Amino acid sequence: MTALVLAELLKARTTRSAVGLALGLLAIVAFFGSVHAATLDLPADTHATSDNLSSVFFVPVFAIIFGILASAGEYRHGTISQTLLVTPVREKLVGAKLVAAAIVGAALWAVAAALAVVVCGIWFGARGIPFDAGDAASTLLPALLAAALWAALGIGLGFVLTSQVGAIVALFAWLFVVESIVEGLLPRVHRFLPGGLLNDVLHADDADFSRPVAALITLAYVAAFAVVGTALARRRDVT
Amino acid sequence: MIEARSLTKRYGSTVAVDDLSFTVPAGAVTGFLGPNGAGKTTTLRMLLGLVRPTSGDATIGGERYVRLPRPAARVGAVLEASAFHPGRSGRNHLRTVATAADIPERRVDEVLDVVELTAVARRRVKTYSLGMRQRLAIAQALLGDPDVLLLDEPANGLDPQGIRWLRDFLRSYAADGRTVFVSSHVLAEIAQTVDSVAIINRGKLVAHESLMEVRARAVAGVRVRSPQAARLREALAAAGIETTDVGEGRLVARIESSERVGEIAAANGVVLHELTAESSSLEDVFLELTGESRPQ
Repeated sequence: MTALVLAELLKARTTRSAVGLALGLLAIVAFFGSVHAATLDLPADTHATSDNLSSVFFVPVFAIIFGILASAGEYRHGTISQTLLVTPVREKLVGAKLVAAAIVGAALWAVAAALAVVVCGIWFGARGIPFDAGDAASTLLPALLAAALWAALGIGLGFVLTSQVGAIVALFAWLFVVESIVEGLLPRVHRFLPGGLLNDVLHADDADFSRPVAALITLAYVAAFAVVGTALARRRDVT
Repeated sequence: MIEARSLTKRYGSTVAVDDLSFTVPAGAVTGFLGPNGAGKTTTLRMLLGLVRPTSGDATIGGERYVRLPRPAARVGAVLEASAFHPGRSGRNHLRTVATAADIPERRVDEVLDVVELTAVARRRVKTYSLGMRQRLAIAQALLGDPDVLLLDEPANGLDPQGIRWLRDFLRSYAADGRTVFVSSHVLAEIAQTVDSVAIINRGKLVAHESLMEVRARAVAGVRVRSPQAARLREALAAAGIETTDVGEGRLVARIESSERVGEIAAANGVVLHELTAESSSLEDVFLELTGESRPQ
């Protein structure tokens, strides 16, 4: 199993998609942190640090896109045939991809968080705003949890839909259209949906569920998509 | 050893592979022949666990492919139109396979050498020609030093030297006591490589025999043209020689000796305008077996 996870990580390192995602993420983090710090009214409020670092909330979205590319991408490029020749047991393949995606999600978080802290440190230093390490951790650490979970969610989604573009379109349609409508009409239902849960994992203040509960329900989604994706991968002919 | 038992694959009402049974022995190169669309690729993919049979089953060394503990070390497969991630280098592609299959990394450079891809190994696959991709696929098949090789139309995209190289390589591979099963839609292409052939058409096995037996089917004939074709036909029939009337005064006598046909014609006072001994080629046999022979 370790070998399979290492192979999946090697796949991630040997194409440009993961690097491209990381660069896109870093651009957003640098831009957002700079604009926030530059336009911040002095004296800054007590949550200035966490507000400035909140661009790391984009990490889960980039992580799920990575997960989709790592799973549906195999169908997109036809490499799924070769992959299944080496690892014919679908459960093992999906399992290895889940673990590898969570690791890549964590790595995306690490580079984003590091840059966010550097940008924040430079701007706050220049403007004389104190950097609050505890406040920073309260924003950064939940994003790590969310990044790992959402990367794994992307793997399952990719195996269910197998279309890279289809899965990404479905993801954004779900998050920004379906969940917005449900949130407006049925807020009690919305809190059980992935986007609503993501909000609870990231923000403690206006949460419906506590962070551990929200993370566990998200994990249930990860498991459900992975199980359905594996079952479909077992049944589906690869031609 | 590869074994297919009553393999059947239906797509809706279309039967792609129909109750196909055969065994492929070790120590020999076995050809898998059939016209395009005969079901070769579907059969190979069922052997490899990529396509689920509607019924029947397929084993390699007595085990279904998905049950093999280390498949890459047992079976090497070259799929038709092998797909690679265009942005990954050939060498990195092989490294991902080697890593997953627990194969030491030095083996990657060895197989790159074997297929003569070392010079371009670090280039991205999207810059490769079809022949280079095919050789990369062969390199992947060899990574685990397997004792069974399955190749789906491996000659596609290879240049004449490449085809020759592949032929010699497969021969020596089988000579080591290993199993080679190679598909093609052109008999001539693999006639010099294979010991025996399994021929399928419309998903059904139509012949499974040694190449010698196939060659024996290449019946000889004598083509004659005569303004007195009907009379010649009777004379030949009297001598116990079967003929086929192919129209416009032309006959094909089912006999090897053109001398004999000429003598009979002379003895019966029949004028001949043409007398040619011809043997049908292996390709004719193949076309006849698969029912794809062109009308005369």
